[in-house]
Amino acid sequence: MIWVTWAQHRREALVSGLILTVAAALLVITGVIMLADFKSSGAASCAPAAGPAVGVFATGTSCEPVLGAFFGRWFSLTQTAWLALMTLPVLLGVFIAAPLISREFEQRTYLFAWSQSITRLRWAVVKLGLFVTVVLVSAAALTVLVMWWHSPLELAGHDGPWAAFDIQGLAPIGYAVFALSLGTLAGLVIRRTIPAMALTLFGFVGIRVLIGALLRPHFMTAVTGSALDVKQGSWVLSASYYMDALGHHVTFERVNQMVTVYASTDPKTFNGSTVMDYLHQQGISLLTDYQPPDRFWTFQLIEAALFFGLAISLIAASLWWLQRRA
Amino acid sequence: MIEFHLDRMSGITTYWQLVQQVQHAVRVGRLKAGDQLPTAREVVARLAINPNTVLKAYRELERDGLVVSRPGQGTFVTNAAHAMPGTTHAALRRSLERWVRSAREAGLDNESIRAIVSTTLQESADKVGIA
Amino acid sequence: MSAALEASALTKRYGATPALTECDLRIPAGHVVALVGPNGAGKTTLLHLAMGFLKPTAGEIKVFGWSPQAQPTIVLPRVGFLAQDRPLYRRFKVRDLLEFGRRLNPRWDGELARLRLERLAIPLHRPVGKLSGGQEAQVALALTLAKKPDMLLLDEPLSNLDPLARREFMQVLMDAVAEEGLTVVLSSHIIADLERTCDYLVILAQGQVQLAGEIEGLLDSHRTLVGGPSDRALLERDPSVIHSSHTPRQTTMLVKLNGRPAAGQWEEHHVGLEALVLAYLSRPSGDSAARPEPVEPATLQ
Repeated sequence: MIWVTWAQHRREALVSGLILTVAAALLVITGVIMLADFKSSGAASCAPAAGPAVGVFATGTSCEPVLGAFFGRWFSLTQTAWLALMTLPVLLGVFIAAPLISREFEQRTYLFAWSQSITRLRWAVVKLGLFVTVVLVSAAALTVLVMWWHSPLELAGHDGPWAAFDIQGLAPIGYAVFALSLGTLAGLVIRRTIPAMALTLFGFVGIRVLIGALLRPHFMTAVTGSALDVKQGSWVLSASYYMDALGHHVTFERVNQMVTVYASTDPKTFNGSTVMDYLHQQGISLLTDYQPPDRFWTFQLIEAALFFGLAISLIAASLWWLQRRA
Repeated sequence: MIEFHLDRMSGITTYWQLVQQVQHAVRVGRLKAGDQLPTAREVVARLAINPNTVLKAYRELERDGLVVSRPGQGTFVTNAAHAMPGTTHAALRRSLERWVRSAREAGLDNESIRAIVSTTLQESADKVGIA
Repeated sequence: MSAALEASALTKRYGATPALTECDLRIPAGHVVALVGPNGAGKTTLLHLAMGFLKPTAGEIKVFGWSPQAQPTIVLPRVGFLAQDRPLYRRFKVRDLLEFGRRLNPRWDGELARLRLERLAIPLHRPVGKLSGGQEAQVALALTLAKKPDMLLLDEPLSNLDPLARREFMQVLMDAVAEEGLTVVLSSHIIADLERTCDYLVILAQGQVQLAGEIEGLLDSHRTLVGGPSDRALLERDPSVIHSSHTPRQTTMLVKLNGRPAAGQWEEHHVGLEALVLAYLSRPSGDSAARPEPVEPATLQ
């Protein structure tokens, strides 16, 4: 049955392998270049110095422009890479899993497969088992590569690992397996390729947005505190009002007054970050909701667990459907 | 070795056609005592008919004493089967030719002649109890 | 001895649509069975139920005494199946399909299948999608036979085949029957194809078994009667009259005898398979073969 699965889906396996190889190659090439730039531009020596004690709107060190420049150079690449890596699970579910399963029914070849001396359940379990294994291994390997690739950006960036939450750690493996199981169930139940692909697409995107945008910020209750306390590499969720060193609310009008006073004293150096520095010196900061960097892996575990849980339910549903439907 | 053929349009059942063809072949001397009939598999592979049909035909022929089946060897024409003497055959042909001529003179066409022959055969068969 | 295929009160509904209703069937082993009926009669549904692809809504179906749903590991190796329009993996080469079968079936005679295909000059290295219809049918048949089943279920195997391809298919099939004593159930809505190969008949129409039995017996127990004008209403009520047609001068009807020849001034003719099937198919719905024994022929006048 293993040979049978390979022989039947050779084409899909090769195409997927090709896409993954190209992705990996691109990551390696750009990663090496980026790392070299990171070191030679001095950003590398800067980054560890921009340590925990610096607030969100950290200023004052000479590292800031170096790091900022580094980011600027690699900005479009990181955006492209992030987008591309985000679409990989979609490709898997919509263009590989769903059509692969629905075609078996659309072309009625399932009648040929099921009339061999193999039970429907065994046929499905071996096939799915193989697919899940391959996807798990490939996704894990790719994710490790992405983490290596992303490390300079992580050190240089304010958000730390959070910026690449969706493309590194454990979550992408969860997305991949979820996409596979969603495509499988869609193909099995709907049995026509285009509708199955559509359902997989909307289902996947919908769940990702639901969990990523609505649930993730609340996986753990955010820490609320002064912006001055926000460590480098935190995920800032929102900022509300200004407060003073004692934690009392400071009105916007008062802040405005202070800024106007400051502006008049030294118009030449007046800009966004110097204003913030001045306010901070006065003990005034924004009240901020954030997730500290040490929570990153907990969040990854939670997100991955959610997606793996969904995947397991979908696979169980597929097997149940297969047995009951006939 | 006799080779069977089937006439789908004749209205005669398959197994009876096989029987008739063997009977005819014996009568005109194409099959002689000791000749082997094709095996059921050979007939089936050529004509694509049900094997039971062939077996049924051969059983009928065996019942009539025309053939005998030897297990492991095949089905063979018996000594008891003999060709119709050439003289009887020729005599019957001649009287038939005379009858056909009178039928034509009476104004009957080929189809009407065939109808009379069929009906007569059928009635005589029914009377004797053959299907 | 278990019947090859047995159905009791077998019913299958797709949602609200009935496909088979209360079917009773007992097909003995060792026959070549013609399963005839119009499109939509339920032939495919019956075959799919026999293979365990579907679950009955009510009633049960058994293959050699086993339930295909409950014991697929026992039933599947014993039954070969050829679905309508022969769905095969068209990208596979012929020899890949042979490998496919070898790996998924416990009893497999690949050598014989290869020999058969070579004798028919079918190239083993060609993708199935590039074969002609007749060649494809032979490949499908060879794959089904290589499994060494005790029974073959073939769903309209001769559809879309030219006459030569049809004959070659039947030659191979009948040869296998002669050699291995297979039971074969062959569904079709073209009766002429089945007449000389089948010895058992099942007529399925409107989801019900209209008639089932050995063809020889059925043909013996039916006659076509031709006679003068008759009471149409009376005849239509008579359960032994399967089908009747009337003109002002003549009545023709196909009747089921119960052992006695029909009385009176009727011209009697033997019934051919096609005529028998057509008569049963053109009966008004609601009639079924499971009715009480026909009334005395004396009522026919």
